[in-house]
Amino acid sequence: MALPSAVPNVLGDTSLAGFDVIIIGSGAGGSAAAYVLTAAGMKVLVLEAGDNNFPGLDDPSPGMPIPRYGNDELKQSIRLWDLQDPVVEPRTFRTSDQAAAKANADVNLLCRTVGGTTVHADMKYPRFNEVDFRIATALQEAGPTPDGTSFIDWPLSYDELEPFYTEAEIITGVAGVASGPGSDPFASWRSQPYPMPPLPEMYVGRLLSKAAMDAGWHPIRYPAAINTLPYPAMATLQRPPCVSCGFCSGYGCPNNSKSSAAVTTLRAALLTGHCQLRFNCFVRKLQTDSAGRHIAGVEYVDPDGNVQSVSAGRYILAASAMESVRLVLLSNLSLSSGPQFHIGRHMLFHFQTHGVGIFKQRMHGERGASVTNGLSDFRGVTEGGTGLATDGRPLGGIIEFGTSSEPISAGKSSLQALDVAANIGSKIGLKDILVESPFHAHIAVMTVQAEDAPQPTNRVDLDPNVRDVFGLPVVRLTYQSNAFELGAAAYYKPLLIDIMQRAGATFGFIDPTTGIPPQSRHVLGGLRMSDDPSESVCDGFGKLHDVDNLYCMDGGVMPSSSGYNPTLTLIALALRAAAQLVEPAAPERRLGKGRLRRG
Amino acid sequence: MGRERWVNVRLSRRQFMHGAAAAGSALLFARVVRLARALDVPPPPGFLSDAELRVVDALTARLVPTDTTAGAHEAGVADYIQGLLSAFLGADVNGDGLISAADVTAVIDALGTDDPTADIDGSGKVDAGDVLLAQRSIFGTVLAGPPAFAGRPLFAGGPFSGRTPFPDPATGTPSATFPANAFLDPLALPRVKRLAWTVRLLGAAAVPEVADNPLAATLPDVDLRRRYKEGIAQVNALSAAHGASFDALDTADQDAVIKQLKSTNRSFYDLVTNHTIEGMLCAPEYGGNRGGIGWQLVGFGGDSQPLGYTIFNTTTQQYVERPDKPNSTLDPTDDCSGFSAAMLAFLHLALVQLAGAQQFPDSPCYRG
Repeated sequence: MALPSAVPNVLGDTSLAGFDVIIIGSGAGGSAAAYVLTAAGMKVLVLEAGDNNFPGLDDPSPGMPIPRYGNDELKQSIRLWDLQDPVVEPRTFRTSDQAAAKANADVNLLCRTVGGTTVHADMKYPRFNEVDFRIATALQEAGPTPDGTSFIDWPLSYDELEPFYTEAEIITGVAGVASGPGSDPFASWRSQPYPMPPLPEMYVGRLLSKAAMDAGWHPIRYPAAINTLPYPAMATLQRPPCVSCGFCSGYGCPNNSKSSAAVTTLRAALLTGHCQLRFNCFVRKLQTDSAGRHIAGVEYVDPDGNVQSVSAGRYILAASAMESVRLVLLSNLSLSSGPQFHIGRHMLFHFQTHGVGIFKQRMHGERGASVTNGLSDFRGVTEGGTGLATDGRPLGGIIEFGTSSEPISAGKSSLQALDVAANIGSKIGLKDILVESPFHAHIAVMTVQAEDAPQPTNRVDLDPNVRDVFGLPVVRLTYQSNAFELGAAAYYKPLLIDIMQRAGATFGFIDPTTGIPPQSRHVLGGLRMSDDPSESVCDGFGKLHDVDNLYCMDGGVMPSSSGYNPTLTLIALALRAAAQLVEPAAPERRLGKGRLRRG
Repeated sequence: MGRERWVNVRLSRRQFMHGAAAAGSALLFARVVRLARALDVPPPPGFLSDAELRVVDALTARLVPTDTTAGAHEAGVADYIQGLLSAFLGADVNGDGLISAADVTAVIDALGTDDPTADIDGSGKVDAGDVLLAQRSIFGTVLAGPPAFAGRPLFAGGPFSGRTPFPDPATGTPSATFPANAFLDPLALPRVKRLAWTVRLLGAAAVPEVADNPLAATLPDVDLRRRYKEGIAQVNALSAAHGASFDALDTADQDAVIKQLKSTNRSFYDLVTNHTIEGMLCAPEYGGNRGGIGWQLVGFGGDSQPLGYTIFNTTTQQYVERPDKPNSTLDPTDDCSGFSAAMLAFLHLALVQLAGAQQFPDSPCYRG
């Protein structure tokens, strides 16, 4: 083994052959799976559609890699450096099967890069609640749920996942408060404290926390997979503490303090010598045997645009929910009626409501890790998250306290306001908007990540008309909100405005621009899991019913969205599924085996 | 930085078709060479001519005017736009200052090597693909050359610009050591991104692979070179009615032209407005926001890595904040005076009357 790789577009051991497992996608789920499998000595090939922005990721020297990311809004937010670009890879959207789908530049586009969207996320890593794992039963007990929803209980309990939550927090490095001031009274039980103390608070976080407390709520220090200490201890994998540079949500981290999949699980997997990663390689098809129930290989488009194929014993879908669904639909699988019906259905996004305040003072949002404080009271569960709230609070979601750290994007989104100004005869011009900056420097935002009820009609299929740059049919998203989440939003909206008033806002309002298509980057469902094949696509360990060697280890398996940022849960599920693949009878025996553990 | 590179874009349709048909065909190669030789002319500074650049400068200066404070002119917004439009302007492989048939020959001579100047597509080796790019580069029908113009990257490298120093780990204060400016290193584009930017700069017609994607032809930020050429020509035509080129008109006449432009070609007006915001507030390496003047104007801190705002002291294992620019409390210079009367009146109308916002009575400002 020779590391780092000297071959263009390849990381890891370039001499590996005879792969045990091929993983499609190097994001949160795929990298977690690679971490577990390589720690067990399996030979793993990861195929990633995006570029590698972490030169030296497979270099065992301490201090590596050196990211190609900077505090650069133009590059990442405007010119879409490492995002799926709709100019070459569009998606289409419609609100019902009867409506005509139109190409849309903003249908939940995620990153195309080594490390996936964890590279861009600001890494808020709360856990789901105990009640989320038996949500259908809990809702049924509480009374009728709105028509059109398709809640099911999860095929595992919170208690079964808890050790993997703990493992995920340790290996990715999560900062937070487990008990006492700043902890979350609605969080469910945990076996260990967080590995690191919480992030330094931003001004806007303190401002809104004080107001929320005045209103009788329980603001929290938001758990985040961002270093607040040099972490982990092992020199080759150690990364520095966050410096609160402000370019966090939507940005690759310049100093690796953000615990993205790339610099944590994936780097650890590459350094075992059992992992090879080919990037700029887009998987376009799973090859099957004649019965369509066994994967024989994958076809991918290589960095030069040529089609290659490669095979292994087992295959893991981890391309993000929509793309994993698309890949299954592009392949000739022969699924029985249950999975065939459910594939692509019950897509979930989190229903976001934004409470906005415009303040006299400046929030200096370019200082801080995007979101350092929040609130779980509007999740609508009991203390400890064991049941649904009985005091009238509907199932909503956790709230992020934020502001703007992007003056270019804020300036552009103010242009509509300038049109209003012109229409009402105001003399306010572009320069005034930029300089006085009401919608950037003076803005505070509370974002509710509310439960998005599963509906079979909210689905992904292949668009019959629009094709991407690879010549393949693109994702067609059909989505319409349900009375379930709309009702919860209506309940919580005045409470958001109330917090803004208590914080001293001059103006308070609900952002009217959100809704359809959903803006959330929390893309879940479409390959939902259950032990009952008549109501699902995958089993409780992500294995597709009917296919003997294909697994899903991304957000696609989630049957419901909960109301918390989903990535930690996604990672815990992937760790558990990969551990089960190694040790079918006792997956928990794989806990603590990788080099990030206690590192 | 090296010489500026370019390719003649003022080709007739006939020349274009001729070149496109010939590209890649060995039989017709000699004709391509003859035609290309006839096009050898001295390189201009970028995609837009000096006269066009003056129009863009004057136009953006009306959108963000110079008054008691700096505007788009001082920020270099026109240079920013020139940098964007001129990325990949040509492959001057032999370094003679021209985009010509001699460059194709230079690529052929380097076939099989890893010579980076001849490796136009950045694949790591010089191959037939590079010969094709060199040929098509002559006709401006393909992106070729560096992903930057005059040192301004299409995508800046990372991680640091060198505007702030490393923190001193022992004391948690700014050190005297500054990193090199990696923002000046343009990032090479992988194949799919390169196709996307071919669409953005040259239009969907230049990329057969996007024929079944309606967005490639309809998004506001594609086909930028043509949109600018035609948009500027339209501004010139509107200005002619006022008796001078746009940049020579007085501001009242300029505003009249802009009003006409806005009502007759809204998409170009919006494009320039968006690019003006980008050019005011981008990292200075992109050509705009010269010396950080735009960030200063709006009170934005810009890029702060590697120093940042919370500095970890490895001795005490604690964070310290910068007293002048605190992370967790109100800025010490912020007097909470709020908005100008005009802005407040506008916000009241726009937010309360039109968007149903609530306006709250004045209250003390929380300092943190």
